[in-house]
Amino acid sequence: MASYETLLVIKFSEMSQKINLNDLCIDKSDRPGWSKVFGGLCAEAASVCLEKQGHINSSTLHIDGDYSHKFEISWSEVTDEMHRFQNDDQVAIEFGAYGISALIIPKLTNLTIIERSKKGTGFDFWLGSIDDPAPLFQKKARLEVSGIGNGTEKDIKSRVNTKLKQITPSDGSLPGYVSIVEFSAPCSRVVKKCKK
Amino acid sequence: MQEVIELHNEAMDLASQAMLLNMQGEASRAIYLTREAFYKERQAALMIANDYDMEPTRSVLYRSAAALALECMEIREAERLISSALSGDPPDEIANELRDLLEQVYFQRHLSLRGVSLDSHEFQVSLTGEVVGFGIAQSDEFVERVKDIETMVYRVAERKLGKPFRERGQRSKKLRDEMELYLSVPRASSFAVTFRVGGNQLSIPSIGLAEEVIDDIFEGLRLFNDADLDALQKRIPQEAYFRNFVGLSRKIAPDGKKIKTVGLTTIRNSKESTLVIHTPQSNSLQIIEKTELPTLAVGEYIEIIGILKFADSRNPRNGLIQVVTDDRDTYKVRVPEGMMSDIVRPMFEDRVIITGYLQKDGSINLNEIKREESD
Repeated sequence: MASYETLLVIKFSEMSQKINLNDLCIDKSDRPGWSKVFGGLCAEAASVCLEKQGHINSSTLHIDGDYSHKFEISWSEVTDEMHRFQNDDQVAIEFGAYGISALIIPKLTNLTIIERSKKGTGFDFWLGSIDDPAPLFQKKARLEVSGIGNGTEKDIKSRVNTKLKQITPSDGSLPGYVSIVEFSAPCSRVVKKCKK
Repeated sequence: MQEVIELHNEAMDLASQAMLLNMQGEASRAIYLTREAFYKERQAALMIANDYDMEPTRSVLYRSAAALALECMEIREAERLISSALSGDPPDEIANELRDLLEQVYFQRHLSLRGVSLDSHEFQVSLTGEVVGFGIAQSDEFVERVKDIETMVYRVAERKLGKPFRERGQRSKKLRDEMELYLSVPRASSFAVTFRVGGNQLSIPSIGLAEEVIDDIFEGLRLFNDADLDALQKRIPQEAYFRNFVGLSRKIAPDGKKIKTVGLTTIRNSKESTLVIHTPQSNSLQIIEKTELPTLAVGEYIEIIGILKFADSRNPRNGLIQVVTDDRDTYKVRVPEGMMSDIVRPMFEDRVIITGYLQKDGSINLNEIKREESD
């Protein structure tokens, strides 16, 4: 017979929570690592990527990896101007993945994006508790995000492995999460790093 | 600390706005904002320069400032910031990322000509990676790319001269004389060599065929890099030439490990023009891998691995090869025009990975062929 804890986990994973990409464009005190400009850019990119894969206005986003969950994700109408603006697929996929990860990670981990830093041509994000006054980047978990427009299970697995391989497990590794967002399903694989 | 946080947040907002402007095509304003972001992030990093215990804050701020410096081509400043970060005690993960960034800094230096002068009919190719040392490179990786670049030069020249795709036979003597490829002594940077197209240039019929060929190669590789195959196909409307260009580009591109970066530099309008070809891990090459080249894309898409045993190019529009798998199954593979001579034939008797479309008669219409990496 399943324990209460197991039943609760099953029930939580079967529930479908609602998220809206427009939330990224609103200043929220519990999302200090985002500006409205950045949020708007990510929301728009995610909407365009989802529509390019044939999803119109809403879809079910499946989460797997170290979490099992699903979200009803919705967004406003995508205009021609937005399509024109987001015409670089690679950039749109990257920013769209940032946006979706920013919405789902707090719901999965109870941690929110507190800070971000520049990494290569993109960003990485730092997760923490809003009440924790630790200095910049300290006592925070790192969130690395990557996006795939239309990929197979093999593509997602390979992207997760690439992200994890970049870190040689050692005492110096930072705790954190990898989030790979795939837009055709759509789905996201969220994996904890440094499970020690 | 509050001032550091405020400077950092302002820098990140500016960097976001710069990205937005870049997407709107306003490159010069984007660079201006990136530079502003860099100044603020550097200021934030320098404020905790001596707080060596404050990790990962110190190293992350330095890394972030260095990434911004690299974006606005402040190469020396990026190098200085990375060195300062590494001189502290960053976590292993951040230290590795700083070293990766330093490799990019050095590669930018290698792309730059540093006193080497190039004529308009010359270009420089630089390589970095595990098999590339200071002025030395594994011969296979280097020689194959030289051959592929040479082939690309001749193919582009033949296309520019309006010749039909030559599936068999030698290059014409006249073209060989006009477009002959010369190679300089490698320079000890990453591993950089100069290619000269057309020797002494005395016999080139019209001004700048060599320049035209070099420009065409740069533009084609740029489109390949961006995975913009529609634009590339508009530029190369002849199917055989298009297939050939994509096949050769795939071979020249870095594998991501043995060769991490392949960069090209030329001089146009007295300025250096550079191009860094992406690794296969990048999104763009994954898009290209999945893009159906104009083959007969009908039937189930399959992948087989085996020894390339037989190549018959008697039918120029549809050559035939045979691949024998480890289970001793033999597959007939139809090779579309443009691929047999430059892409497939050099792999004869090698172990290859074939992807393509399985036909009712059991043969495969080839989409892509590559050598299998041996352990």
